[in-house]
Amino acid sequence: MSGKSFEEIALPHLDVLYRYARRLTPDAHAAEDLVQDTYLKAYKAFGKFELREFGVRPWLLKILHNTFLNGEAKKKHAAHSTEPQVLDTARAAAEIGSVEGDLRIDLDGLDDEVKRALEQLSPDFRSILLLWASMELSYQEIAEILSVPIGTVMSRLHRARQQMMTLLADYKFRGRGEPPNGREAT
Amino acid sequence: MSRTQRSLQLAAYADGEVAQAQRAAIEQELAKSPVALREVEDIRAQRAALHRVFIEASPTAELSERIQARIREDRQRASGRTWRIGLASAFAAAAVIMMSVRLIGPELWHQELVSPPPLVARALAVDAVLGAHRVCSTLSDGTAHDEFRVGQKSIVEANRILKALRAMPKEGAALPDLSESKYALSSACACALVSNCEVVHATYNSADGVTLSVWMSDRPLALSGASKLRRVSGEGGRVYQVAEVAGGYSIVQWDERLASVVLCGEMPADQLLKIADRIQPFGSAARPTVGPRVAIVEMALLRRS
Repeated sequence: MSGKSFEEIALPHLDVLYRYARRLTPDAHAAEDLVQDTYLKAYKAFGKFELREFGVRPWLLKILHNTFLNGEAKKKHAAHSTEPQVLDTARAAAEIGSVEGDLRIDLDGLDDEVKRALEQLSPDFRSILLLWASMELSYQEIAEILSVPIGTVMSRLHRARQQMMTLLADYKFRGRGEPPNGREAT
Repeated sequence: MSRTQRSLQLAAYADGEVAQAQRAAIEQELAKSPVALREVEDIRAQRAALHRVFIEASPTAELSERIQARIREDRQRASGRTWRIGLASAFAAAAVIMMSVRLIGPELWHQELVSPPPLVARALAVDAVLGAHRVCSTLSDGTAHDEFRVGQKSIVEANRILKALRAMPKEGAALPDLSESKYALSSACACALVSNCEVVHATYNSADGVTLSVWMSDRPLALSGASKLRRVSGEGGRVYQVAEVAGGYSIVQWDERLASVVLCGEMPADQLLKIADRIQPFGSAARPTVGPRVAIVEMALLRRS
């Protein structure tokens, strides 16, 4: 593996991993824990990692993503939740199905609302939007990280974008006392 | 082309994911359609907005130092672990010999029943099993299974490691070899399905990509929370709890020697039961299977005598 140590290869990606973790988790402390766990897992599995087509970053992101999902699943178990993940997905799909339409909002100056909307999305939608928008990753790389086919990446992205715009429209129009009618707001 | 398909195509264009030939065709359309052009602009604007909030966050300088310190610690611990595993294997081998000698007397069976008090039957929600199965079965790189990752190891090697690490919830138990059912072991970990319960979870994969999860816990568990939950008699007097769940998943559970085994897979219950029938968590020479209630009765008789 090019003779470099794990630290030399993996630590340059700390910023990206932290940023991804920060938007997935509720606070900076949780994000730091998630990143730390990710690095430890990556370190333990490093012997089996070969610098494949996409390099080390998607691999680290994949570990972070899986660690995050695992943590979420454990929280659900601890709370004795009986709601399977499939229901979340089905519900999200149903919600999105009901808001098909042209939503147009000027996003300049809406960073706080964008953050709020991100937090409200399901982990699946949140993570795919972050991977898509923030790291210049190709669909193929996103598919690798999420362990899903490219077609799923495309359709999930589409639904995630729609749901996010619906939330943003809701914030914006509710703030102005206008209905979210799906038409141009600027 | 449906509206959604059209949107997917425009999104792929906006993201630079279409081939050159298709690109030219889309650009021609964009020149003619203000609606399509607006859609592409909106996608790019959304991407830019998300990117802005993404780069806002920065890690503290201490985080990098902390990670490096943890890796150093882990490296040091790993260099000491080889010795400990070696020693543990020697102890485990000695324990097996002692067990073989003790197995001669039938009273051992009863003594063992007394050993892990209290006997606790916990309700294990079917959805929790299914959720854990889904999460673990999607981890193709084994990141959730670092501790007991088995990689390309054989079932014998995997069991030896688990035993050396004292990871198995019950003495004498081993992960089943499902090669006869065409499933190969892919990973094993200590996934806690319920708190205060020692559980080893292993995933097996078939050549056609079906994942099977097997959990072994240190105490009897009961499935609950499914609309289709039934009891079925199996091989050797076993009584299975069987749950069938939407999406084509089935879950089978049974108790054996005060341990519980849970199986989950995306297949009809009858198929899963056939696999369950072949599983001998305590080896093919296992003593008679006794459910927890029967076990309590036998234990009481022994005490009276």
